[in-house]
Amino acid sequence: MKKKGLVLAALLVITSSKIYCENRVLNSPIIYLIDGKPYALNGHVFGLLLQVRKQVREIVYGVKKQDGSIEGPYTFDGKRVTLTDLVELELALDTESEGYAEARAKLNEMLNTVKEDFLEITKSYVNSIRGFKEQILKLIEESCDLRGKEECFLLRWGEEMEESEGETLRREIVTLEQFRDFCSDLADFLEDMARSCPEAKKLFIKMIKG
Amino acid sequence: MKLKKIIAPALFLFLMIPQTTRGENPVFKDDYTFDELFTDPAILQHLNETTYEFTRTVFDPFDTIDILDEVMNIRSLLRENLFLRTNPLNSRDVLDLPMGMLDKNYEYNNWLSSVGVFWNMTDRSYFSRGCDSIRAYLALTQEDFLEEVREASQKVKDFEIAEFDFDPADAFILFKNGTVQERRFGLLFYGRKALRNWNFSWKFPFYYLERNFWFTEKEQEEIEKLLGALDEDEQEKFQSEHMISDKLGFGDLRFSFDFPLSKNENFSARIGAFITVPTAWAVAKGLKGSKFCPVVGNRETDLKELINYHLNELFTIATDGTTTGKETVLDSLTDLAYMAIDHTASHLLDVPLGNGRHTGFGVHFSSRTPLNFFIQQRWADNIVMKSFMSLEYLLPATETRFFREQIDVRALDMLPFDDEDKATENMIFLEQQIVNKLFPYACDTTVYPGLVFKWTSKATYETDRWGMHLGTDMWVKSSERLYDIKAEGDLGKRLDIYNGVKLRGYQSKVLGSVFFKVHKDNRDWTISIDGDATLMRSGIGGDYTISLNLEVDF
Repeated sequence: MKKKGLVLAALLVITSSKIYCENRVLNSPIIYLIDGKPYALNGHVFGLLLQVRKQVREIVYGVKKQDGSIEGPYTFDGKRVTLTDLVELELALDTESEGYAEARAKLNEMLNTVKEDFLEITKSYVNSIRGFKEQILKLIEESCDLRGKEECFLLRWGEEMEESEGETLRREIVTLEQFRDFCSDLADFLEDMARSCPEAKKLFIKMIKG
Repeated sequence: MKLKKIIAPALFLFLMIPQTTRGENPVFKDDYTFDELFTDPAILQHLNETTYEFTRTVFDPFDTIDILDEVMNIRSLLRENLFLRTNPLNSRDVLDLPMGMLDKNYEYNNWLSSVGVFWNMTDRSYFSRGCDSIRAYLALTQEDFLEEVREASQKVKDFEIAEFDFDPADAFILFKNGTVQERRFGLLFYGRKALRNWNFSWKFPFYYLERNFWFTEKEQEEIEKLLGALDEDEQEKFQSEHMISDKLGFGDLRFSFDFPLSKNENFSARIGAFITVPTAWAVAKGLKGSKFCPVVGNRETDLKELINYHLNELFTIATDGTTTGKETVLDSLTDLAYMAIDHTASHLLDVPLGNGRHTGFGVHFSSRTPLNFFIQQRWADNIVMKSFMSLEYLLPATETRFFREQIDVRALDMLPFDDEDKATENMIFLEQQIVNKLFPYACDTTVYPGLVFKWTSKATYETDRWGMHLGTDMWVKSSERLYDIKAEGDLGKRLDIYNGVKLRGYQSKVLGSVFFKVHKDNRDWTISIDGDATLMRSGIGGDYTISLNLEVDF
């Protein structure tokens, strides 16, 4: 009986932490300003947001195929890899080994490719929201706060999305691990934002149903 | 060739359509949970097959009203008046100041010719009957108004629409003690010709008139602390362009005559009449400061007429994501603020020389009584009690006057802001209301200024070589009446005329003078220093005058 209770309690903790983890809703009054508004987060921009989130996640975790297997979007050493795979390779590099410089260069080349893909994917989204830069930055801050990420590159990206046109990202992200963390943070933020905008969701559904 | 004709438009259409769907259309449910949005195969297929392109944010009037009404609560803000009053400020005509009165003993008394250099300064003008601060004019300390400003600014802050680290209501309060100063410096020409017992006299001024908004140094420091300071050059430029109005020219011309009413050893009196001819004419304007004209006239005006943008266009530009867009909006709003200051300056600072083109007819009475009639002492032999009274009626003339619009709160509340078909109309209405708050209407108005009463009494000690005056001066002006306000359409019915009427004015002064006489070449020359200062006042600021006069009697 005692064991059962413990199991139940553990399940409850796990379940509730899962709910907490997956259902982050942003409470800033800015949401009221943009949610479902034709000039801000309308059905079209909501679709763009979902699409960018999906594509960024595909860079990080790969694409789920029909047979259930995962396929990475990049080819490295003849294999299809995800950004997560590349990070593992990066972390496994031995700085003392003979072939380190060559391997590092190859990974850097991959990093640049992934970065450029990322910039291409997010270009439309950034253009769509940069008129609301201050508001979006505030929402990024709230999302990072909720997720306990007080210092992450996403905040810098939010601050400079207007001016830098990707220069900051190209310059300051120098490892695949940093870039994976950034992509992952961005996808999380986009998910938080989507979950916070029920009006925009309605418009999106209405739009896709024609 | 035919193929080209088909492919080209098809390709064009393909590129132009922002959402292009390819493949089999997925079947969607009526609704999705958020979790399903991220995992549902139909949604994922849709996201895979659809290209969402960037679309520029364009605000239409309906969106704009939505933001203004729901987000910024514009209705509540528009219910409050920014201008509490729009009356012009009272100031005595130079001809009515107690100087150039030609009231000494003159030996020849045939021709008298004089010129005086004068300096007249009003440190703090009166905006209402008893208040010399602009808070009586603008709602800078009105709690209801400040509360609405606080609420609106809090929302602007919450929504990250604008960045400021202060409470705009606090900024308003900093301006509450601002006032208007007036300086007049120039020459007063006056003279008299005696024909038998009749005297014919005249006087007219040529002077520099300057008015400016004024804050004490401490107030300026506090404003700068909160809002930031301009550098010296910028400050000078700002003051010259928006805070100072000045002009140089002729004032009105006054002719008068009088004749003896009674004369005996102990009492003499004269009675006469005068006319004030509105000859005031500015030779130059904007010497140190600027010349201000009303920005808004006698008809409803929207924002586009002032800053070239409607509100929705401003929102669109502000959110176009470029620095230039934001700068354009900021520049437009700054221009609007400057226009509002200049519009206020056009009725508080840019006042005409003279009395506003009103012809005046009046009567005057003067008397003299030697003091030894009352006090039989030797020292009283050279002292004469003098009195001068005048009553002038100013004829009506057309002036540009400013009026705020009475707020129809019910109409504002009833506006169908949720009616998309009337969105443009409603947005224009809101713009007009915003403009009305900042810019009272300027309408040509027939002004009946009424009566001006003046009474100067003084004791004069006078010998052959020198003398002095000491006395008091009283000036009273009745309240004016306004007729035939020229406003477009039915606007005239909505204007708040009561608060646009110039106030009744009362001023009491103490005055003094010292003069010296020189006899040379069959002429008596008199040089005098005159001064006066205000003791009591109502509806008019306290001023002081210093003048240096030269008179020749021949």
